[in-house]
Amino acid sequence: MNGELHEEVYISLPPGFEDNLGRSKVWRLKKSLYGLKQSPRVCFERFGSVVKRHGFTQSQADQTMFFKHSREGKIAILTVYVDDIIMTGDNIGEIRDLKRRLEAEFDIKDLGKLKYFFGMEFARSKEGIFFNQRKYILDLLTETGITRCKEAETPMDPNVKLKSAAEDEVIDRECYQRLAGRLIYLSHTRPDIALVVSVISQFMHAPGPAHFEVVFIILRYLKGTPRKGLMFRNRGHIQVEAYTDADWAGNINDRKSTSAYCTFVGGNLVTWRSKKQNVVARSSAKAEFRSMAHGFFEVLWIKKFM
Amino acid sequence: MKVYCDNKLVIFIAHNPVLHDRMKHDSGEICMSYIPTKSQVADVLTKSLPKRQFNDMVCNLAMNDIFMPC
Repeated sequence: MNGELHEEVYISLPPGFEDNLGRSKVWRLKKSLYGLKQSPRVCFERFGSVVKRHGFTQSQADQTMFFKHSREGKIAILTVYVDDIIMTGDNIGEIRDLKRRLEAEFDIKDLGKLKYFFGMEFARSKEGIFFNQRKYILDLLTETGITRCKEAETPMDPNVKLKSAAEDEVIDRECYQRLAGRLIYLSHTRPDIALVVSVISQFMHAPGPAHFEVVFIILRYLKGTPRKGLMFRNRGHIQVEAYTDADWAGNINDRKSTSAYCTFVGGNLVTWRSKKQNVVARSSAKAEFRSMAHGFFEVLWIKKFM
Repeated sequence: MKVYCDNKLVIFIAHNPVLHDRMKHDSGEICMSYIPTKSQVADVLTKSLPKRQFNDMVCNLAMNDIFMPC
């Protein structure tokens, strides 16, 4: 671990050292270890300070993003997730410099062009950058044994309205929660299942046969469309647009509405959300207004990013 | 920056200066406009649609399958 500790932290001796050093001794840590409470913080602090010393600025919209503008108007961007780093930008020299600097400070490995990152596959062409989670979907289908079923055309039957299952109907909660969790991760590149994933995750506490049926349809839909993903094209502008919508009182259990928005930067879909609102809206305008406010926040956040 | 909504009333409320002490927004930079439900791409995130509408909406989201473009 790369972090320097600011606090006094002691550990008892690991077995095998007592005879040489005495039983009553403890060690004081100078550097951070895995499993310490402060280890993620100090590790990121150290990384951040190295990058900032190189002239990069930490983004306030997302603390894990660092950027540097050059005098010629070029930019270099770095984002970090735990111990994985992505660098991008049009300032190739700056990126190369930083890479060298990081190599001197830390033990890092350059994996070349971005191809595979946390289950997402990236591909580039003249048209743009395309990414999907094909392998993740295929693994999920093999794991659930859904490889020979008939494919579904849409991820959700428009006529199905789900209710919480009665106590005696609840089946295999752990399995349901695991599946829902995997589908939530999948919705990083799949806005088409965002709605139905938000619906199934409302019943994590009490899934019945009807809920499993809905999950099964999603899996069958995925089977037909494992390669679907998002395409980022250069359309010559970077205008930010948001679309907001609401479904008034769509939930038949508590009559709460669903709000949704999706935002585009330069005509490319970047963020989206479908979420049950947490208060009961008494008119559709109110429900719409709430989702518009959410869309606003998102747009303001994206603006801060840029 | 633009925010689209398919409900005219909401846009009216958001633009109405009388209500502004309770509902504030950064009107200088964000422009709100009405969009007909047919081109409202966020529709697919609020209700489950039949096959054809669903596919159209998903295409509008710029979602793509490079081997089977829509």
